[in-house]
Amino acid sequence: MAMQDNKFEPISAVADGELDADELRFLLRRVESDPEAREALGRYHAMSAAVRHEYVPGADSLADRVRASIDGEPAHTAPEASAQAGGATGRWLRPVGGMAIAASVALGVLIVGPTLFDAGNPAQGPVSEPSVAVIQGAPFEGQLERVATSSGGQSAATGAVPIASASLDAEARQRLNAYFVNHSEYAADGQLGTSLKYARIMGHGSER
Amino acid sequence: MSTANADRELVKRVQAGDKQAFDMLVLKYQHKLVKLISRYVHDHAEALDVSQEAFIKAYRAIPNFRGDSSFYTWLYRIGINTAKNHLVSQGRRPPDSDIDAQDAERYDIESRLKDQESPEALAQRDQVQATVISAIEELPEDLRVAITLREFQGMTYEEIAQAMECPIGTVRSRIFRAREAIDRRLRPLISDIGG
Repeated sequence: MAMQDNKFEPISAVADGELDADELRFLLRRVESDPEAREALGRYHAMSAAVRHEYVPGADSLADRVRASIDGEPAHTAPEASAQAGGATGRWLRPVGGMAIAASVALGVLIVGPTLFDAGNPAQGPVSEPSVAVIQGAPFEGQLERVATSSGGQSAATGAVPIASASLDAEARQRLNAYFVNHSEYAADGQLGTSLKYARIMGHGSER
Repeated sequence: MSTANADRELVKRVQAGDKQAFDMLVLKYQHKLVKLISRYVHDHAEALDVSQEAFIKAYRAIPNFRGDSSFYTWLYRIGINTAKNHLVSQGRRPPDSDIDAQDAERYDIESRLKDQESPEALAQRDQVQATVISAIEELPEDLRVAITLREFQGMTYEEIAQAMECPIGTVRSRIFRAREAIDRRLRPLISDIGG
């Protein structure tokens, strides 16, 4: 008799979210097959709704209607659930992939960087015009002091390098030159990428 | 287990294909959602239809629910959007005033948007509420305290056990017995209402 009296105790506990995962699994099957248990659960929730001023007369029928509608819907399948888990794995993989790309870029910079920027190494010869053009990205005239790099302590500057003249008038060239020199620190953080954070553009002659 | 964790467990089961777990979520939130949607859709039968549609949308979308918010906050947004879309489709203008999904769980929304229930529905609601309160007041003290801490204070069984200085199993039993006593009073009333 006592067993019979307490038969809805787990229903009351599940209404409060107080069952562990195993009890919940068992109870779900019971509610599915025992209409009385499901009705009791509905009433327990209705009590709570009444206490919280949320009770709506007639709303108890909604669960039956929704259940009938969902009966016609396909059940969500385990792969979808595992896709969620896969999503969690993906969240782990994404930073790893990002780090791999960053490492590849860094390696590329280490290999190619000295070739591009280490003009101070006699074996590399003088800074060529295209290299400067990449760094400056703008017409430049006159004597450009060498681009100093901080890699490997090979930044010793030597002499100025002659640059080909562009076909701008003197005033425009002077203004452009001043602009690039004054704003050179922003170039590394912008479109030119991080490897050029270690490059410093220096003005020529009396400009700076 | 907190209510949020219990909901999360049910959601996981729905995502794995267990429709019964979704039925449990509907049983839990049906009154709350209909109440919310009734603020926008004033006709009772229409509000029930829109609520049903919102639950079905939630069921279809649940594989994409990642638990960034609570289940009810997520359901709330679906409910509001469904209600607004319904009004627009009927050529009616949705109200400008919205309740933030987070606030909805903390505040009594009655004060924010005007209640549009019919006098009959209001009377039935008041009668159910009065019956539940009256039944609680008539309970023996140990049952009354346990159910009050649970329903009015929202405390977990563990917190109630600490407050009442008794084992969790005793709390669970007291709350169940309290509910059974209330249910004996409530069941005929709900049957009359046709709930």
